[in-house]
Amino acid sequence: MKVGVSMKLSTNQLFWLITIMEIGMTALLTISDAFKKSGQAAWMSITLAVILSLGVTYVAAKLSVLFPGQTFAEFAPVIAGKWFGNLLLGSYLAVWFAVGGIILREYSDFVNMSLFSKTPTWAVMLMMIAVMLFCVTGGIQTLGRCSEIIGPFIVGTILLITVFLSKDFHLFRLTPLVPMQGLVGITQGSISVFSFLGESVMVLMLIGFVSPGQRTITAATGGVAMAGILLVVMSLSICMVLGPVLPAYLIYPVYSVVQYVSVMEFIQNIDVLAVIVVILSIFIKLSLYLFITSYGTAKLFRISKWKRMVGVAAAIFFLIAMAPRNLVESQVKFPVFWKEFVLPIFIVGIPLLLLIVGLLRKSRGKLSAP
Amino acid sequence: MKRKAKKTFIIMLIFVSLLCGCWDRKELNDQLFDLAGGIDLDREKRECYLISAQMLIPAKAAEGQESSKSDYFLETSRGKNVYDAIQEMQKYLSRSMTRAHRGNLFIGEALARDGISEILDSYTRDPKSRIRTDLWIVKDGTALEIMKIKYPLEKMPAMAPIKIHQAAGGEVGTSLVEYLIASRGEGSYPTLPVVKMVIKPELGIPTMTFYGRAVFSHGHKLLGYLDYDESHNRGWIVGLIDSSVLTVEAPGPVTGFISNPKSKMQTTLLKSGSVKTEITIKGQITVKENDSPLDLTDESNLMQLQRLFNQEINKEMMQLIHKVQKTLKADVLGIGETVYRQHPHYWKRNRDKWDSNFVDSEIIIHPKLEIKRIGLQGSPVHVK
Repeated sequence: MKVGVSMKLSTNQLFWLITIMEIGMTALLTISDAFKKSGQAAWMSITLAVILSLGVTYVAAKLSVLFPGQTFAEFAPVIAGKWFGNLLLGSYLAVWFAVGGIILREYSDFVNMSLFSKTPTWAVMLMMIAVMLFCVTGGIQTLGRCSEIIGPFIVGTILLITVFLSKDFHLFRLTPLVPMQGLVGITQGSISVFSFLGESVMVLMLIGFVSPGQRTITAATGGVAMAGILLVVMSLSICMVLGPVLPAYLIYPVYSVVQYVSVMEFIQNIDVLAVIVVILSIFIKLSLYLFITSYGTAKLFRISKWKRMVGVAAAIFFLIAMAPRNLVESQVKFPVFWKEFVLPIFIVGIPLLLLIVGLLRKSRGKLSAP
Repeated sequence: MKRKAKKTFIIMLIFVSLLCGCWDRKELNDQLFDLAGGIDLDREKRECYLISAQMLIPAKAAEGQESSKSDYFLETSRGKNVYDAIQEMQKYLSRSMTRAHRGNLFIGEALARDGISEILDSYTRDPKSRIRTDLWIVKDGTALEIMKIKYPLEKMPAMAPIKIHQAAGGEVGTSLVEYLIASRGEGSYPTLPVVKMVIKPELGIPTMTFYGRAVFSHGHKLLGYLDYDESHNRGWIVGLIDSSVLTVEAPGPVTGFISNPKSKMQTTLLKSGSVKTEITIKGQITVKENDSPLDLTDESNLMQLQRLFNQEINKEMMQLIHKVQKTLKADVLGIGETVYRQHPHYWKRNRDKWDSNFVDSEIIIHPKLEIKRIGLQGSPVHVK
């Protein structure tokens, strides 16, 4: 297959893609969980989660760099044997389809909650899918360029909101610094955040598009670190405004705290900014999932033109998104499944194992550069 | 083939966006801004709420001209809970109500005594209802009485308490959040600001005043009140005020304006197992009126006056502490929170006993007020 310009990513684009994709959902859905488990030490939980996911991202990126110019869809059969490699690829694709669909659902639930009341969920989803299709059919570089604009905007908005909130900060709400729930609490609080940040394993499918020889690993881990720092800042400001207990009872603490902004009785009701940040972030994340699933499926079934798969993949996303009957299934049960099943196996286990196998085989010279 | 697909795609996009616009269309002309609300217990039927709302008359606000007619109108309705009552109210309104702009909610005393836990949920759950809301308790009256008062200075009379509170040096918009934090926090009892309707005999018309703070139990029931001075001094201790005024007899009254009011709380654990709390009160005094014969340019006089100010604040603070410990038996000074922050491990073991420990715990005030400015003259000009 001819690799055109539309299938190239720069390291800068990779960095922003990862940052944006990591920030939105994680901030929206997991901060509450961290507060539930570790109270005012939530920021420590999140820091721990960021460190863990930096490790995971490093492993996935390192593994990808072993095979320059190849994505996971291409090197999985090489590293694990044809049959087993395709099985691996198939199961990863299944996971990515599932999470893509669920994110689409969570997105439409959030948008419906904050902006609409009568608009049916499917219409919100179709709107998003339409934009995703438009973007993804342009190739990975379209996404990359989008992210170079959206990324700085998101970072700027988050910092701006933090500045607006700063007059309501009460430093003493962070004390006592000793985590009262102990190390166990901190670790438990970090798992949710880690499981969301760990979605960065998708770099397995992205690094192949970055031209080899650049500081790819730095860009990928840097993206996670950037998102991580923003998350820590957000959790600190939530704790200083709402205290350590209240956020645990709120489904979207970030959204509630943005509603709280009031500067000089003039800058108020800016929650729409938060909605925009979330929508943009989820747009990039979903488009990435749509891209890697359609590209991966095409490789798996040896379809020469991957763009033909985009429509099919989008349809699958839509069907999965319509499947959960209520908020509990999409926002409580699925994250539990993700935390207990996907996190240990697909995010931590398999990439680490493959990296070890890859390194061993490389050192014995069995893997030649393509 | 490819052309056709693209065309269909674009048409679909247009359709989807148009449909979305129609479903959730909200014209500004069909909106009604509910700027203040009141909730009372319905006396005839129990388990039923009577809500009232002050709403802006849109055309009046748009004209922006002074007219003899008022800019707002009142509406009431009944319901099993807040949202139920709002839906009931909607039946009488030609425009749909928007809760997002409401900053004030008044709660009648009867309802507060009965417990407000049921109505709080409506304000934290509904995304259209802001978390930045001020809740007020109406002392000796109902919310409806407050809503009916015609207050000349504000377009919406119910906005007046916010401004009065602000002018008196209090923080605005935070009372719901502070209430929720305290009710869920470590050992604290939640409080809310209080308004009261008064009819001054010399004027004969009803007006409203900022009375102080209401103290609630852990079960969200009204326990009692702190009056204006007490709640102001409490605000000094917990850091919620930005100025204060103090008058002493020197002999003859001397009044000082206190800027930069600050406080510092230090807790120590005693061997007996109880907690000793030391509160340092700081502030800078500007003498505003001196009706005593003291010449303040004389240093010994100044120091004597400073001592008097410190004695006075000590006395007032001790009165507050006595009331809080012995009458209300409720920690509204954030001492439990401070123990938790300063001695987390002690707190973990003893937090369940705090309510009874607090009542007997030792609290000491260290007043450290300083006179910084005395105005334009030393002794009063007219005193020989």
